Amino acid sequence: MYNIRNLTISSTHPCLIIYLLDQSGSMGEKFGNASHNKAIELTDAINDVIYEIGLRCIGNSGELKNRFELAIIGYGRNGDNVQSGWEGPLQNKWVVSIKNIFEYPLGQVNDKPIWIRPYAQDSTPMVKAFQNARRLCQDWIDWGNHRDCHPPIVINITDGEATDAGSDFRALKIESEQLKQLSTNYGSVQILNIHISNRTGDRVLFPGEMPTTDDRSARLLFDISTPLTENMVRLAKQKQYNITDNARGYVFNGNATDLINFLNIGTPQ
Amino acid sequence: MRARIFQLHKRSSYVFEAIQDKFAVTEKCQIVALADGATQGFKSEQWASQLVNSFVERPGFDAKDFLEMAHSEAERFRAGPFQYNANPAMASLERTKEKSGATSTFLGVRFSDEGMELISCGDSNVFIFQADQIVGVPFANLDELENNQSFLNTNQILKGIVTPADFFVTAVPLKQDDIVLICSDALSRLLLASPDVLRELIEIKSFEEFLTFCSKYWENKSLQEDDITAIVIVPPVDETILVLPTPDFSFPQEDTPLFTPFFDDSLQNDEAMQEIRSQLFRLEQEINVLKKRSAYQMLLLKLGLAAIAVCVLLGILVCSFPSSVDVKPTTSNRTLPKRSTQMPQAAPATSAPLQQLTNDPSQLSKDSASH
Repeated sequence: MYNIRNLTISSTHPCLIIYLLDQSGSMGEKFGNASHNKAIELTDAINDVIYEIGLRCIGNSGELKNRFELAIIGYGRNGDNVQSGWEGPLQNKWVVSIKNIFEYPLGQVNDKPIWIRPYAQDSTPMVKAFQNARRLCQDWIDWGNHRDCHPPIVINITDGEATDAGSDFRALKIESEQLKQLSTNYGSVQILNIHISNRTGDRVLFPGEMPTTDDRSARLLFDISTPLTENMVRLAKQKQYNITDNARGYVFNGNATDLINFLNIGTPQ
Repeated sequence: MRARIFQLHKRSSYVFEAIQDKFAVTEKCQIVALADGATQGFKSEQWASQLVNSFVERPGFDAKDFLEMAHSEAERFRAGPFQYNANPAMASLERTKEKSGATSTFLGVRFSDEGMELISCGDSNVFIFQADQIVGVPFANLDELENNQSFLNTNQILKGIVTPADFFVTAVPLKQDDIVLICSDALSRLLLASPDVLRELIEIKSFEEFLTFCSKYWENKSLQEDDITAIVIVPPVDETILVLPTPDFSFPQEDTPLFTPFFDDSLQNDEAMQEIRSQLFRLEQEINVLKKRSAYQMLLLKLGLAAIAVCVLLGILVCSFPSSVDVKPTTSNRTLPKRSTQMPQAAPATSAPLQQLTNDPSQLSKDSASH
């Protein structure tokens, strides 16, 4: 295993980030005290983080360096199916380089490009989303020199529990364990989970241990989240989160600020 | 004594013109300035150039004086003008980036008979090779360097957010034959992690040797993939030698095809899989039907052939019997009984009817199901 401190994410050594987006019917509910729903909040956050990644990749002469490759997997928009979340010219693409992402935005809103739109429709086939993520990660790691790159990061954003994981969530546990087995020479795939909610209290932010809770889904998502890396801990502390050394990449009942911060913490510098 | 200035751009930049490490030195290296423009900033390499050139003209080893110089340079930088990308999404990025300003680190050194003065903001470092030991200034170890968060951003300078507290200022006495090495961050990290590498570095004379050195440590992952600057000084300096890439040098541009997942996009959900499974099942059923038909047709053919064979055999047998039998006429008055002209009544059925041969698919399906 190489020392990740010596790794620079670059166009010759890119990093893959996979966003799993809950597009189930419950995402149509209001988000906290906002007038808009969770799906819109999520979409805005993802469009913003893609823009932020673009800012990190723009080079001296204004060209974009392909330091990041992004995948968006939407689940719950169409029954028990999952599909690529890219639309427009990028439709049906799974992994897209940051350069291509900025060449083909879906449109512009307030002078900023956007790439995805909000959906809140059916059930929550989270296991299937993780299966897709695992296959993408495996294929990406096996491609070219990607074994010498930063390990992929999977970021799951949901407001509820999986509907295809069985009564004991066994299928999701198995799938996440298989995903964690994948690695590059710089470490294993990282899994981060954020539970967004319309509740206003009891936030759990990057815990080292999960507080006692009756919420089985929260417990599950904590269990399948991987520990924060050194870099993520540093970023989280910079954002004033109270972080312990064994903190996991998990947020429960996160608000809008938590969502944006979570996404930025999950993006390697 | 000589000063050698080595520079090599990172491999992903391909050409030397893209290097973001900028340096400036006075004659005989009495004043040396090194700045590392941050990619995250807006036109940071331009800002880094402004800083080093202005510093060697107006060196200041007091943090306040330095900030005054930096303030006027930041105003000059912000005045632009700048051109933006034709792609609206990219132009949006550039305008946003412009709002956040340009960012660079800075390290300035002045040599005198007393030794060396240093002013620094950022993660570049100076190494002093003194006979039997290596001293790092301002960072003595890797943790100190990693924990440093200072940098010079044009916006923050203009807003007064950067203060003298963000600078490291010191003076270091030097002995005769001390070797001073000024490095940007990637090389500094390597030397702090593996100080012995410095002995190897100070022996390098040519660009080829420097390229070999950097490539070796890039390949074994102990050197970050970043711009590399090493200014090696043995004061007092009589001659300054620049060891830079030749104009025709570039790293090969790897034509790496964009990643494409190996799995088929169409197999990503149950609906598609179910449709295909259904089609396969129907195909399998039709094949079974055809097989059954074929089997029964073969059976019919065999029965027909068997019947023909039986008939042929019977015919042979009949032909092989004697042709006449002697029958004596009688005169008796006995008459032969009359043959009945009525057909005998069929005997009542006492067994199951013969199975019917059919090519009705529904019957075949039932049969195949019963099997």
